[in-house]
Amino acid sequence: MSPPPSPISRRALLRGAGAAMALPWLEAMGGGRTGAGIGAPLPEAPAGGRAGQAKLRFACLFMPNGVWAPDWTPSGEGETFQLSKTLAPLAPVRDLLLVPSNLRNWNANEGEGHYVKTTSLLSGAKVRRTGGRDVRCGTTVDQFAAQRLGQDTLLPSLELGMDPASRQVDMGYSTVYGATLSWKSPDEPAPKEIDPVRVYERLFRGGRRAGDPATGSVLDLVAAEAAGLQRQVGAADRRKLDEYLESVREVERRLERVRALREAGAGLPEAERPADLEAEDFQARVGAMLELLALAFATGATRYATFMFGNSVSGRNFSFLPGVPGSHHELSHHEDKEEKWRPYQLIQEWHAARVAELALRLRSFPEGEEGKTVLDNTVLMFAGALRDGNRHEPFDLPIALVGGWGGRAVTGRHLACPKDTRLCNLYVSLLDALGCPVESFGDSDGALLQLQPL
Amino acid sequence: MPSRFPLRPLATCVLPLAGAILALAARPPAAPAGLADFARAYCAECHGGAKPKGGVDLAPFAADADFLRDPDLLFGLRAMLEGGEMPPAEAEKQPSAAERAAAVAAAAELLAQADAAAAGDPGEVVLRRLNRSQFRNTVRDLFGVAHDPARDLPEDPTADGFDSMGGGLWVSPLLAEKYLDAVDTTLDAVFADAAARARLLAPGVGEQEGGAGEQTGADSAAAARAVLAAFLPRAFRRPATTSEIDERLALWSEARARGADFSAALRPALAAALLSPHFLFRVERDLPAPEGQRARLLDGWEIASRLSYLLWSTMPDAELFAAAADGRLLTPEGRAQQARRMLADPRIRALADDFFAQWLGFRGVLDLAVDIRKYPDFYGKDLRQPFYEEAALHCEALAREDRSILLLLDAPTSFLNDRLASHYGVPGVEGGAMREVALPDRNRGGAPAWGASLTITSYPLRTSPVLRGRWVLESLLADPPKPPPPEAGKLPEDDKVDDGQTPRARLERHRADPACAGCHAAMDPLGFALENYDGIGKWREADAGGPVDARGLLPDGTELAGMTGLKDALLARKHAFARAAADRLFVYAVGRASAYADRALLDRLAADCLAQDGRFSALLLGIVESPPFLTRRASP
Repeated sequence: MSPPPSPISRRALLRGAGAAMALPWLEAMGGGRTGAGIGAPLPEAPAGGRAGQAKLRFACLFMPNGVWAPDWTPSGEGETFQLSKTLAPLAPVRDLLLVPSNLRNWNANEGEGHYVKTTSLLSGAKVRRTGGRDVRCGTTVDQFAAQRLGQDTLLPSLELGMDPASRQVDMGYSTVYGATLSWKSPDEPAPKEIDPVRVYERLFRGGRRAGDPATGSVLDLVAAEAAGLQRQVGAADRRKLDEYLESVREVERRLERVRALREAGAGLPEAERPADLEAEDFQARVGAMLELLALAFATGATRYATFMFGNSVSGRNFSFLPGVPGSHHELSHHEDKEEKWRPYQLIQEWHAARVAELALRLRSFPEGEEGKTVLDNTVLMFAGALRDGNRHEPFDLPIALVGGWGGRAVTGRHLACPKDTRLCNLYVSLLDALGCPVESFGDSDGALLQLQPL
Repeated sequence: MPSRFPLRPLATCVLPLAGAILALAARPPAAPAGLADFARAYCAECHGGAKPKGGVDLAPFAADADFLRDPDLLFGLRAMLEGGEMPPAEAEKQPSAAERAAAVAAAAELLAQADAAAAGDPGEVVLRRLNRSQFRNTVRDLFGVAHDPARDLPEDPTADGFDSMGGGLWVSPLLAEKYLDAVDTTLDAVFADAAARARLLAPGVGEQEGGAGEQTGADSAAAARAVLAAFLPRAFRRPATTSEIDERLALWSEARARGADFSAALRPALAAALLSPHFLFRVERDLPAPEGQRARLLDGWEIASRLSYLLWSTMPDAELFAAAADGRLLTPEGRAQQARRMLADPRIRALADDFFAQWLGFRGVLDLAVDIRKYPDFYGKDLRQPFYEEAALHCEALAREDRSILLLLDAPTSFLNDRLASHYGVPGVEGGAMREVALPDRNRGGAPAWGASLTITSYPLRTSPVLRGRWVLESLLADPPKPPPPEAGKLPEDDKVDDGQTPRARLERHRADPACAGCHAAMDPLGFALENYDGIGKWREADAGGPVDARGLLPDGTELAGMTGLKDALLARKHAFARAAADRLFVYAVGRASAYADRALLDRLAADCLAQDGRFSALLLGIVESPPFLTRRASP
C-alpha cells in the first residue's frame, strides 16, 4: 500500500547539495575515533556524556501546516508498531525511530491557527499577541541547550529555514512568529539563515577574519562604547544595547574559538561550497541545507540546530510531486475532501523522506565505538506544530524522533502516551540526554522518557 | 475596595493625580457610578473567564482606576456604552438608562484623567537601529561610493507597519557577523575607489606636505587624527568627543606598528566607527528634563537625524548638519525651511520607497508570485517593476511637488510606460520610460486603481474581494477588521466554478454565517466594487462565472458601483482617510505606535491638512512641529 522508500543515492545527495565534505580531515581530526569532531582537542571535558563519548546533538525539523492525521500515527504500540503511510520513508532507520503520540502544546490553544503554535513549539510558552513591537514567547529547548553546552563549538547553534520572514501582521500577530522556531530568550527571536551559500560561509569560512589582529581591538572598542552608552539611556534602550553587546561578544567568542583551534594545531572543518541555487529551486535548496546541517553535526561545528521546511501557513507549491496541485496551505484546509487530503498527505510523505535522507547521511559518518555513527549520538525531531491542518489543534502533535539518543533511550517504538501529555515533558527528557538536566521546562509536569543512567 | 493593581505606573509620573485616583479607587464597591462595578454586573459574563469574547477581557479591571492603565480600551468602552452597542441587545441583563449614563460619565471622567496623565509626555521611543535601507543609504552618503553593503543583510522585521521601528529591530549574532562583513566590503569599495578614498583622506592632506598617501613618521599621526576628526562627526551624526577620536587613533597606531601603511592602518579605525552603536543606532540620550517637565527638547543634531531619516532614509547632508550646528533647527522657521528643502530634493524618493510603499502595501508587489499560466502578462509584459514605479512615482510627486494627499484616493493622472499603458488599455503611451499621463477616465488613477494595489490583494489564481476590502479598510481608512476566528473556513484560492458557485456566490454563502457577517459586511462590498479588475489589475467585463457584478452595499446603506463608486465613497470619507494618513506618517516619523494620548493631535493634523487643500507639506510640517517629534521622554 505504501510506496517503497526511495533509495538514497549518496551521489545524488552530494549532487543535490553541491557540497562534499573533506572526509580525510575528519579522520585526521580523530573525529572518527572520539567522535567529538573539532570539539575533540579542547581540554575541558564536556558536561554529561561518558568519557570518550560524543555529546548528543539535537535538531528540530519543522514541517508547516499540520498533517493528514489518519496517515500519521503508527498502528500498534511499543516495539511491534507498524509504520504509517506518511512515516514509511523512515523504514530504513526504524530501529532509531521513536514516535510519541498524544503530546499536546497546552499554551498554544489560544490565539490564531498557526503562528502561535509554530513559534511556541520548542518552548511551550505563551505567545504575546502583538504586531511586532514587543514580540514575546519563550526560550526554546535548542537555545536553552546551546547557551549551556554549546560554547565549545564554532557556533553554539544553527538556525536554518527556506522562507524569509514576511513583513506583515496577520490576525493581530506579527508574522515573525510564523517564521521563528528558535528563541534565544523570551523576547529575542533567533533569526534563521535561508541561503545555503551563506550557511556554508558561516560554517566553513568563519576562520578568515580570525587571522586579522585588528578585529579584536575593533570589537573591544565598540563593545566598550555600547556599555558606556547603556549608562546614558533608559531601560528599553538598554535592552537593545544588551542584544547588540551580546551579539558582538558572541562574534568575539567565535573568533577566539577559531584561534584556539588553530593554536591547538587543529584544522577547521572543510567542505565544498554549495552551488548558487535559484530561490525557486526548492528541492535542491532543501537538499543543500540538510547536507550542511549533516556536515555541521558531523564536523562538530555545532550540536544544536533548527530547520524550517517552510514558514507557518506556507503556501508553497508542491506541484513537483505528481498529483499535487495548488498551495500547501490551501490543501491543508482539506475539508475531508479526498482530492485535497490525498495530495496534502503526499506533501508530508515527501518531508518524511527528506528526514530519512538526513538520518541516513548522519549514519554515514562513523563515530565512537565500532559500528556507531553520528546518528547514534543525535536526536532529530521531525515535527509539526498542529495536528490536522483543517482544524489546527495543538494536541496529538505530529512528532517523530529519529536517532540513537547516545544509547540512553529505547528507540524503535511507538510510544502511545496518555491523552494530552505535556509536550514539554519531551524537552525535560531531551535536556537530560543532552547533558543539562532540568527539574522542569516550560509547562512540563514530568519527564516523557525513562533514560538509561549515564 | 483596594485596587488589584498598584498605582505604580501612574504614581511615578503624575503625583498630583495620585490623590484623585486613590480617592476614586477607595470608592465603596456598590457605588452606582463605578465603571468597574458596571462591568462586573453587565459585561463580565462574556468579557471574562477563560475565553473572553472578542478578546476583550475586563476581569483585570477590578477598580475604576485600573482602567487608566489602558486608555485605548477605556475609549472604546465609552463609545460602546454611549452608542448603546454593548451590552448587546440579546444579553439577558440590561442596564437601566440611568446606570448606563452613570457608567458613561465615569468613563468620561477617567478619560479626562488619562488625558491629564499623558499631557507633556512624548511617549517612549525605543532606540532605533539603522535598518537595511538606512544602512545602505547612510554608507553611500558617508563615503560617496556606489556600493550596496546591505545586499547580504537580512530583511528587517516590521512592527506597527514599518521596518524602522526600534522595538522590532533587534540584533542577533548572525546580524552582527553580517555587519562585520558589510563593513569589510564597504571599506574595500572605498579604498578601491580613487575619488572616495581621496575625499576620505583629504582632511589629512594639509597636515603634511606630499599628500596623505605617502605620509610617514610622526606627522602622519596628526594627519590620521585629522581624517578621523572629520569623519567621526559625520558617522555619528553629531560632534565627536576627543576620546572617541583618540581611541580610534590608537587603533590606527596599532595597525601602523604592525606594519600597515598610512591608509591601510585607517581601516580598523573606520571599522570601529561603522560598528559603533553610535553609528548603527540612532542614539538619543535620556537626559533630565527641565524642572517640572516630563520631556526634554531634542538638540539640533538629534532633530537633524530625525528629519533626514524620516524624509531621506539616510544621514543628514551638509546643509542639515550646518542647520543643526548653528541652531536653526531649534526654531520652527528653521525646521520648516529645512523640511521644505528636503521635500523638494530628489532624495525624497526614499519616502516613497520606505514610507508610502509600506503604508499602502505596494512594496509587496516586488516579491509576490502570481500564477504564470493564469496571468502570463505579469511576466510577459514584465509588469512587476512598472507596477511598483507607478505607485512610487505617484507618491514621490505627492511629496516633492506638495500635492494633495487626496490624490491617493483618486487622481486624473498616473505614471505609465508603454507596457503598463497597454495593460491598462490607455492609448498613446510609447517607450519604456515611466512618465505622468493624463487618464481618459476614473477607472485608473489613485491607489485603489494601481496595478500594484489590485495585485497584492489578489491570490495567485484569482481576485479576492475580501483581501481588497481589507486593504481599503486597513490602509486607506485605518479601520482594520478583526481577525477571523480560528475555525473560519477558507475559500479555494482559484476561481474555478465549484459546486456550481462562483467565488462571489461562495463568499456570499460564507457571509451568511453570523460569526463572519459583521466584518465581511464591511469588507466584501469594497472588494466587490473592484471586481472589474482581474488578479493583476487588468480590466474585465466577465470572470469565470459570467458577467462581472461590481456592485456592493456598505453596512451604512451606501451603494457602490465599480471603481468610480468606490472612489466617491472614499472621497466622502476623506476625513477618515486624512486621519489614517496622519496616523501612519506620525508613527513612521516618531518611531512608535500611536496611542490614545495622540488622538487629539492626530485629529488636528488631519483637519489642518484638509483645510490646506490636503497638501502633503501641511501634514508633514504639522508632525515635525509636534511635541512627540521634537521632544524625548526625560530620564526619571
